Amino acid sequence: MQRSVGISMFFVALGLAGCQTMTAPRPAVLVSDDAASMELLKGAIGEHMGRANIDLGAGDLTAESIISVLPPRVTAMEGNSVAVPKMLQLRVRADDCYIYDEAERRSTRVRDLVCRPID
Amino acid sequence: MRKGLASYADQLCVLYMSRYSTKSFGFAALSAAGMVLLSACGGGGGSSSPAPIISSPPPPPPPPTGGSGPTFTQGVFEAASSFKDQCQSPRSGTDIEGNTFPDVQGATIDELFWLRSWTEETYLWNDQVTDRDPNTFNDRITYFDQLKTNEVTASGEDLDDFHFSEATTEFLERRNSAASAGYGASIVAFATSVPRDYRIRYTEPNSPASTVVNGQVNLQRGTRLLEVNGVSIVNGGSSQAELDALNDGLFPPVAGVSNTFVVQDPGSNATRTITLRSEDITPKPVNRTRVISTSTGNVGYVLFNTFSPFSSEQEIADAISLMQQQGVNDLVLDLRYNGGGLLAVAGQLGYMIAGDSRTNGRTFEQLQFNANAGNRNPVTGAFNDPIPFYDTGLGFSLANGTPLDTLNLPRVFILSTGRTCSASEAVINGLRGIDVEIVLIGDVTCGKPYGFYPTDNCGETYYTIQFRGVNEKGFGDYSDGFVPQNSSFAFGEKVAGCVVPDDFDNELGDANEGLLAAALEYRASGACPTVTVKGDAPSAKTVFRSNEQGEVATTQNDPLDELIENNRDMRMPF
Repeated sequence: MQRSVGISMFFVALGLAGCQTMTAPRPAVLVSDDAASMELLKGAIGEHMGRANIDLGAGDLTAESIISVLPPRVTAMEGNSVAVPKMLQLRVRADDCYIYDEAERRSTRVRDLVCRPID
Repeated sequence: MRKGLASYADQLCVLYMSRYSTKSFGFAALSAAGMVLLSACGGGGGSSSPAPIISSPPPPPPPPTGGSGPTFTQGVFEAASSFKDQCQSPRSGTDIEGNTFPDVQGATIDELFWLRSWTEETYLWNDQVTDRDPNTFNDRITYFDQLKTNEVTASGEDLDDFHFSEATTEFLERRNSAASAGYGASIVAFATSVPRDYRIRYTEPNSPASTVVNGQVNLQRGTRLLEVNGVSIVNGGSSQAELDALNDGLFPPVAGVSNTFVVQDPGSNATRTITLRSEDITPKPVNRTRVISTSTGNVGYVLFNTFSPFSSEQEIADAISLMQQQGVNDLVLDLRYNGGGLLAVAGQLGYMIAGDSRTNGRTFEQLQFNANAGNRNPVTGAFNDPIPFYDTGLGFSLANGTPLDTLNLPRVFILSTGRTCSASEAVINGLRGIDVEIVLIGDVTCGKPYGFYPTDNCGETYYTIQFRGVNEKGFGDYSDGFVPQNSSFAFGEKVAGCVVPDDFDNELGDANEGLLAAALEYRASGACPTVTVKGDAPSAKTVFRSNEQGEVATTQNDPLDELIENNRDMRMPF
């Protein structure tokens, strides 16, 4: 009996410890939207989406976590275009920034980008 | 662009071939074909409701050429993905957007089988395509050209007038082209042969064309261009040097070039001399707005020229906000030159006009694909969700989630011509679907409820109709356009309103301008104005579809007119 209680307490303690180190990703914003940060971000988005050229739409990424990724430009031939921006979310886990794709339930880490949890 | 070109385009191509480089010719041919397509879009058409008539089948394919490759079994299609990017001449490296070409070595037959399967999977009328053995063809364009329906509408027009392809390099160049050099003037050609008649359709705000010099705007709507750098636009062009001078003057290839024009304003016998310095011009989606005070309240006017650039989202939202602030109780939306673009922005516009209660939970446009697609979009594979009346910014140029202002109107006046196409028509159709009254003033719209995803394979970008848009009521059968109620045009979808010729004697947004004046009169009296056509005014040459016989080029759908509008860096034949 004592042994089983001891084992249980061990796993509870282990779980609590895990909660402290395995933090869940949180919505985040950029600390700075300077050119260098934006290049890092766009590079990661390009890698995530398999596109070489990424343009971002309207939005202040130092205040909002949602990233608007513009579709390729629409030509005059496309009078009925269904193009819309793709929405990604900036997230932070520990000290690492990620972009999260809700539609694909997939994250890509953005190396060297500095972000912080949204207030 | 490659397509079975109509004769007009062929004539243009011959003209270009005689004078210009292969590259120029390619662009000219591309543009001409495109314009023929647009023209066909708005040209005479068939009934919107009777079932299409089956036309004679196309001529038999050429004899088999033999060869090896995938096996053809009539009516059995392998997945298009199994043939994708297997190319007779694979590209290497990256395209101008920096993307690596996906091509691998294959053969022409692989490209043909991809076209066949892709058509079966995504073409709207895939059940009306004759399944011919790709082994009996040896050219991808020839094969693609026949992968379409041969049905015609009741009036004899091709049901599918939008089937074409172009080199992917050309497609990407166009997609990535920045602002182009010009003066910021949209030019319309009333007569392209001597004596030529070129006039100003409208000018871009804050452009050389709209600059005021000594109290006189450089160019105004209807101003006729008579000379450039001493060469007569009306009668000149008898030598190559004169042709070059005319082209370089009218369509400056680069910014920073100054040219001198002699012009004549509408209603004046006097001429003026002006100097215009070319700039890189990016057309504004919302060209201008006005608020017109009437005894029954303020009427808003918005000249909205394109849904294509991402900036259209912000600009139209700002325009509607302004109208709301001004307390307008009616809106005149000028779409007469708007060829469409982003359907999402069209959905936003629908919301901003109709308001929350009319649009909440309702569909702006539902895409319909072929029967094989089921409830999926066969191009993207995603669930075929309807396009809603978006009530917030979507992140194009207005931050995602930004609430949109609304006018909450039960009706809207729309000014139209044959150049009112696609997403512009989707606004009309979407609002009709929720019983917002449309009052159409002007001419029959283009008639393009169809759309496509331009798709590259092995260096060729193909356009094949993949969807039709229908409104909340399931209606999308307006391939002959929306037609003002009092038009005698026998086809199309009749809408309340009036046929009124485009008026080049007054500025757009001026309450005296023909279409706007008619809208205001209709608003006041519920009746159409009596239209008088002046003997020598440009509008006299405007021939409405309701009474045209097909021989007279209209200002709305003249391919050359479109050519001038869209391709200022190419050499124009005179």
